[in-house]
Amino acid sequence: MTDQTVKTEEFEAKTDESYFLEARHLTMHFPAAKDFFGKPTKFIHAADDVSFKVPKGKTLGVVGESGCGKSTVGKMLMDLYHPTSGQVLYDGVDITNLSGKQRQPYRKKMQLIWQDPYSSLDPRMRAVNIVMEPMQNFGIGQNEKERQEKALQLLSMCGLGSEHALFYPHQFSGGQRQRICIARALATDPELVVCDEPVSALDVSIQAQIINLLKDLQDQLKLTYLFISHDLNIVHFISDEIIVMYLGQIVERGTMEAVWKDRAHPYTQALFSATPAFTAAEKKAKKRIILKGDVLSPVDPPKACRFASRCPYASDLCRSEEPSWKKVADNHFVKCHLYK
Amino acid sequence: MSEKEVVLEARNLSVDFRVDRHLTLHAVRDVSFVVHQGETLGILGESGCGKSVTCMSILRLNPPRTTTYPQGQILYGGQDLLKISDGQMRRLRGDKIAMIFQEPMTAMNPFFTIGDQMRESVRIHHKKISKQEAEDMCEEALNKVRIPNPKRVMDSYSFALSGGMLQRVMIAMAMINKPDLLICDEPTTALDVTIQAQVLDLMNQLKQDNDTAIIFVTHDLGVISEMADRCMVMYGGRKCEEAPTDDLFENPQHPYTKGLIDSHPTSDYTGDRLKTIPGSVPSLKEMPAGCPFNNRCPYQRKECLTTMPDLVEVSAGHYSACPYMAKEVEA
Repeated sequence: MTDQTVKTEEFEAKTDESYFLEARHLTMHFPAAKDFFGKPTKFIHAADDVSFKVPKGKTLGVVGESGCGKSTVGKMLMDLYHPTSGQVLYDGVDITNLSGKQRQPYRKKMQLIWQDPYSSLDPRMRAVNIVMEPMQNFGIGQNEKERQEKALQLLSMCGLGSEHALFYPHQFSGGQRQRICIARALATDPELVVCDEPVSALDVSIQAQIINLLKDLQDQLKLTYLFISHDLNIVHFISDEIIVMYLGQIVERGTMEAVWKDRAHPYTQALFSATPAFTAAEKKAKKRIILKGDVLSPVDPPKACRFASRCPYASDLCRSEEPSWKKVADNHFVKCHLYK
Repeated sequence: MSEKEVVLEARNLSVDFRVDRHLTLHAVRDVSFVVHQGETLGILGESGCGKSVTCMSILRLNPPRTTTYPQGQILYGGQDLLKISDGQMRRLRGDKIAMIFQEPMTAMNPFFTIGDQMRESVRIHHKKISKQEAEDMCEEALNKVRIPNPKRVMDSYSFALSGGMLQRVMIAMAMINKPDLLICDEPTTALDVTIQAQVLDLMNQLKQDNDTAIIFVTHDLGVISEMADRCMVMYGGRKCEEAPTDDLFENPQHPYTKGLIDSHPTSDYTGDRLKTIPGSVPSLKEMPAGCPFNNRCPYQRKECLTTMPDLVEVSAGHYSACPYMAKEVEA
């Protein structure tokens, strides 16, 4: 355990200007069972000791399968869940335990795009009002007219003309709705946008449009993204840095290029190989690793490597001891016993 | 491939949904295809393109009150599946033609154990099989799909199993009567990629063992290229291209197929932007006349606005419904 903390500190020591949001040992445990007195006895470990930094003006990709805690992490950053322990630092200020009023300026700087554009828009509000609402909440703009102008401008930036402004959400297609969601997220001039699977509910031919839009907006507005997705090719395309999560823990992290070239953790390798390829060259290059078994239950997982039950290289050490962070290369770390 | 027996043939199939007195939607128009024994036919398309409706029509699972089949035939074993009686159809379902649905969670009945539901599908078609024999068959089928401890799984309810497990149960259930044809409607969309890899691997194995014909419906290019021998692309209720899978991905002949393939980032893609297809899929109500893709197509011509081009054989076994793209690429 001490070994691990040292390693993590080393990782954290490299603080510089280029990082502005930091998660330190974020842990989220949800009660899963209660005893007679209502005291929780079992916990779902949705996130355990998750630490990372978000590079300024760049994109941090978070990949993993469903239930690995990637959305939980996004929600903890946004204060939608209050972490069991750990801290969220914004420009070096601990914002984890701020009260509502004190938290307000930070809420303005961080916005969220949800996965499902069908359920995240109020069906009784017109597009322009949806985009104006956050501005009203945060008191942006002098008057309604100014806000309206800005909303229209945001909508047109996101590819929706003024003729769409008075439509209700049900009059839009999925891709257009996601554009409204993006415009709404940008209404408060945020620095960080957490994108929680923004394209997975969309049709294939629309996904590329939205990804391009996100990229263009990043260039224009110098946005920072935390991009949560399970689609590796999309994460590879959009991200500069990546963290791979498995069952509530980060198992590998580093710059996108480093991880893409040399996949260190057996889970990362399996995840990459499981993504079906469709070009002939890619098919040839790919060796399929088919994992056995299902994901462990997240209820009180054992103090060992959580991937050991499915890992093709697992040894007794993996089943008895939790691995610590190992350095594979500069800016590339892995949590696996295979690396010394 | 051609020497193998034809299992199912659809000829000029059209499916209409009657919404009310004034509105009839044409969900599928003039679609023909053939499936051979031991072959996987992939149907690729986005939501609303008619791929699921096509599949449902084979087993006549579309809502009976509103669905009409204005033209076409689905031939299986010399019979037209659109014409046979309900009783005959019931005897085919789950026996000769089986289906796997997209959401394993909702496809099972939560009030009965897995074992109950599996035994039912055996005993309903084979009355002579005793309960014990059916039990053994189910256990063997679950073993085949590599489910550890099948006895315990058969005694549990659907909510107690994970998505991957349930989908394997569904496959076991579909394969238990050794069907001639297995229809898979997005069987892995609800699953994680590593579980998806397991399930796909398993399906390929079973296909080889039993020589079953498979119709595999999906919107995922990667999945279809790994599964299908031949691939058919649908857009706006029409078939726009059909080809052997490798040929289709290397040499797409329809602008829609090409757009789909280009808009996917591959692992070696290094460009700054993704290529896109402009616009979005029109709803069935707003489907343009002529070629359904004409309002998004880079090769659009006057003729496209009025008439749907016929499928033309571009190269051996490769059919495309766009005669203009190839010409323009050459020029």
